[in-house]
Amino acid sequence: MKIGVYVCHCGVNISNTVDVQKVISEVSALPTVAVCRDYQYMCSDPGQEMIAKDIRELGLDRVVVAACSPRMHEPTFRGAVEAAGMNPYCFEMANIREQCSWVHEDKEQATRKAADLVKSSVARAALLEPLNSTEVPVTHAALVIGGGIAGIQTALDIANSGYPVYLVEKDPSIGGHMAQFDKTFPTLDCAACILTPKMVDVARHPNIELLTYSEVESIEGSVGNFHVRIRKKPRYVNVSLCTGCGSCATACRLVGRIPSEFDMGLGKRGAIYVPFPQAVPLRYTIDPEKCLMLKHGKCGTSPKCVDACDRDAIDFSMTEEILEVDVGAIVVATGYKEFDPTIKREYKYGTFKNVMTGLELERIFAPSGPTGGKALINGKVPKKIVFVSCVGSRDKRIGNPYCSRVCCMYIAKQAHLLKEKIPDADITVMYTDMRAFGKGYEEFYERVQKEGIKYRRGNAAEVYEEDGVLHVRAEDTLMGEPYELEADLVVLGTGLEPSDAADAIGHMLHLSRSADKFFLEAHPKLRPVDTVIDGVFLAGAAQGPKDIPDTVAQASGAASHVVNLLSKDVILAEPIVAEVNTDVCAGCRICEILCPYDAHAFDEERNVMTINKAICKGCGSCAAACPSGAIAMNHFRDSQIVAQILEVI
Amino acid sequence: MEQELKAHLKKLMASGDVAGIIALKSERGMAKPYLFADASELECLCLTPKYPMASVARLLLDEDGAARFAIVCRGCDERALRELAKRHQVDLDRLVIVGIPCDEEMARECACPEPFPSVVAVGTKLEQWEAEDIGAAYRAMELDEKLAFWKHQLEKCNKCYGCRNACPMCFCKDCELENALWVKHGRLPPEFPIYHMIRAFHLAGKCIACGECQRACPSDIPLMVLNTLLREDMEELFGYVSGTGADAENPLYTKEEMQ
Repeated sequence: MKIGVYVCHCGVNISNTVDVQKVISEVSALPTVAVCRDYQYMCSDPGQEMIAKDIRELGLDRVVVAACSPRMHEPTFRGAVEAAGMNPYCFEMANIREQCSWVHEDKEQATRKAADLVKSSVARAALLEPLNSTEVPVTHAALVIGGGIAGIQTALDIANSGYPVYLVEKDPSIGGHMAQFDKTFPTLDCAACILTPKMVDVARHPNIELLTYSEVESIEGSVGNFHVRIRKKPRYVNVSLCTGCGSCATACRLVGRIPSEFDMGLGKRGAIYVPFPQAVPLRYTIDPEKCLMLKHGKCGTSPKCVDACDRDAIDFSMTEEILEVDVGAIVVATGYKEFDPTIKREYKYGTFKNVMTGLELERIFAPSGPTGGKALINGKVPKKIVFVSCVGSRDKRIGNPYCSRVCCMYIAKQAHLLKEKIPDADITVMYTDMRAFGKGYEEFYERVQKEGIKYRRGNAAEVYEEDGVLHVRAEDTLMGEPYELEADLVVLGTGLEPSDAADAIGHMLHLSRSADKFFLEAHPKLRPVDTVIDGVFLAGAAQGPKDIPDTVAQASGAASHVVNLLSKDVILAEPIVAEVNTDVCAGCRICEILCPYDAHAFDEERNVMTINKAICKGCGSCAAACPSGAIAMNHFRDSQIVAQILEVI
Repeated sequence: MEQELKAHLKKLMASGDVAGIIALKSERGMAKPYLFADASELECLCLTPKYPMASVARLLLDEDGAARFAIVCRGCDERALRELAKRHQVDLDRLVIVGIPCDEEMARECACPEPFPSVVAVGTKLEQWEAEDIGAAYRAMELDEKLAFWKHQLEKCNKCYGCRNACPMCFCKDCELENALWVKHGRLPPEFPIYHMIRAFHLAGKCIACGECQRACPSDIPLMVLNTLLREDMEELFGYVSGTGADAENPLYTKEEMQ
């Protein structure tokens, strides 16, 4: 066995605390070590070439690099040794930076520890086995889950690159929350004007199959080859016949009697409806929970919608359909839901009609909304308006310690819009800290202040009513004094939480969540659109609260990763996976329970477990739990780990 | 009780519900596990000595893919079957459990936590029963005394594998105790404490306190002290008592939702 060991100085990151020469002299003495060298930056081109040259000239069997964390540079060095003709899995890395030089001060002890760590890696390296990646074919199509701005942008970008996309949206129309907004901060662009053209593009795109009013039922398989079952809920309207004329909606016996979800319950719709006039597809849907015909089997003498429809598009016998598709990559764009402020009882949301959420106010502004865009709150023009920020954000008591990132700015925007509509309004914003971090945000905040909107630091303590007038009690934390304001309207700057759909989708795809319950990216800085599941990517607020520019940027990022994957005909599957020795397996199925990725499948016939290599992520849970040692973790075999441990104890 | 049991089993056999009865057969003054397939053989059925019947059922069910059997079970046997079923080693739907209680003498000998099965087919179960606390003396020791105690006890081990062979819960085809990576070959006594540590780890949440290991040990190592402590830990830390019904999930084989 000929092992080459290379100790990196990492500039002075390592060599300041570790005596590299001493490590070299100790390691050189090991019988398996053929060569041991040091270099200032082993990851640099000359460093890599030093290793490659030794592999070629000395015929090394194994290479150990003692440097930073393998999370940082293992791929770099695996690539380097592979280029020099060695199996990349015969490479081993000792972490003497994060786990040694950075965390110790005593040079002598740090040097001893570094030498031990390197010796331990040499012991393991001697037992490493060459592994070969297997090729997996790639299905050239993608699934995008969620039809908000994130899903729309992702789908368009992928489709424009020439790959087919299935865009699944649970609601009858795409558009998501952005479609509910009136204007966007800080440019005050009309949301509909910039969103609806994209929605139309989605509907018309030859590469996009738009599946609205549909939900993902199950997902099987792994990167390159996912099999997806999609449940198309019955609309009870034949979309190929419906022209979206709306005669049915006007005729419906229940018209104007059902709270509209799109209008946050402030406007009303009938049992047959489109969520909003610019809906895509502009096709009607019957609400099965409300429709008299569907609920009671009877609607007067005959259903009025059927009578009104010239095209005979209404079909009460429609049932759900299951669509099965194969895709190579999946983008999760399930977005957010608005925090439900009823939990914050002190603000009396739900008790007083004049306490409303940011999203509700958004519908009041909208020209297509319940007031036709007039600033009317329960029929009256409010003159004294109080905004309360951080409702459901930065609040440990209710379990949301995070900042929702958009509220400061949407409050500024809404305050501006109110001032514009009601010039003599007295508007106060009670804020915790002002966060105006985006491009043009600080300038917008300054503009709003100049318009006469008062900002007072310190959040509202409670809202109460006296003699029919709302009062907001708060503390001004800059002045250090409590104060009270009367209000005709209290707007709660409600924060963002992961959408309800995230639970089921996250479960199906085995996605991790971060502490804030949003989906966890593979790396917080360098892999913000990837998940730990290969072939599954994140876009938009599903990954964390985001404004529209950030959402669109991430959506395009996710699309580029999808395209990157789909542009290949085959991909290499990671060989660091668990394998079952079926001669030894007793079929107790403990491993199956513990697998976080559902990679295990029991072979009933042979009464043994099998592991799907393409799904296995090599976490090792099964191998550790197997009582009979029937499961071996490639690259982390018991013998390799034990050799490594024995060297340091 | 024996006559009563024979009558009960004859009836069961006549019903045609089972292909055979797993029980002990007396032969030349000795007892052996046996599959009674004919009513006439039942005359030779015996109840003592105590024998780990669950292991017999496990092997037999494996042999025949579909047949249903009756099995004469003590409390420990039933507990063992339940734990085996949780690990897919026996199919309880293919077994008709004929429960018999242990008398006070037998129960005391095993320090059995529950010397009767959930349903007693014949005989009467002990009305009042409290098992001896075999962990008491150990718990009273100081830490260094505890170490000295185990060092002394485990030094007696001659690695005959009797404890494992007798254990109704050991079902692996290859045993980690024979893996030289953990337990070095050709070394006696085995390196302290790896051999017994592995067994203890493997039995956590699994040991049903039948006492077979201790009875099998030729060196009189008090293995049931170790196992009793394990059972106590499982109950205290996780609220799990092994041998309880199929709906009680083993906490060591559950995963938290990924964080």
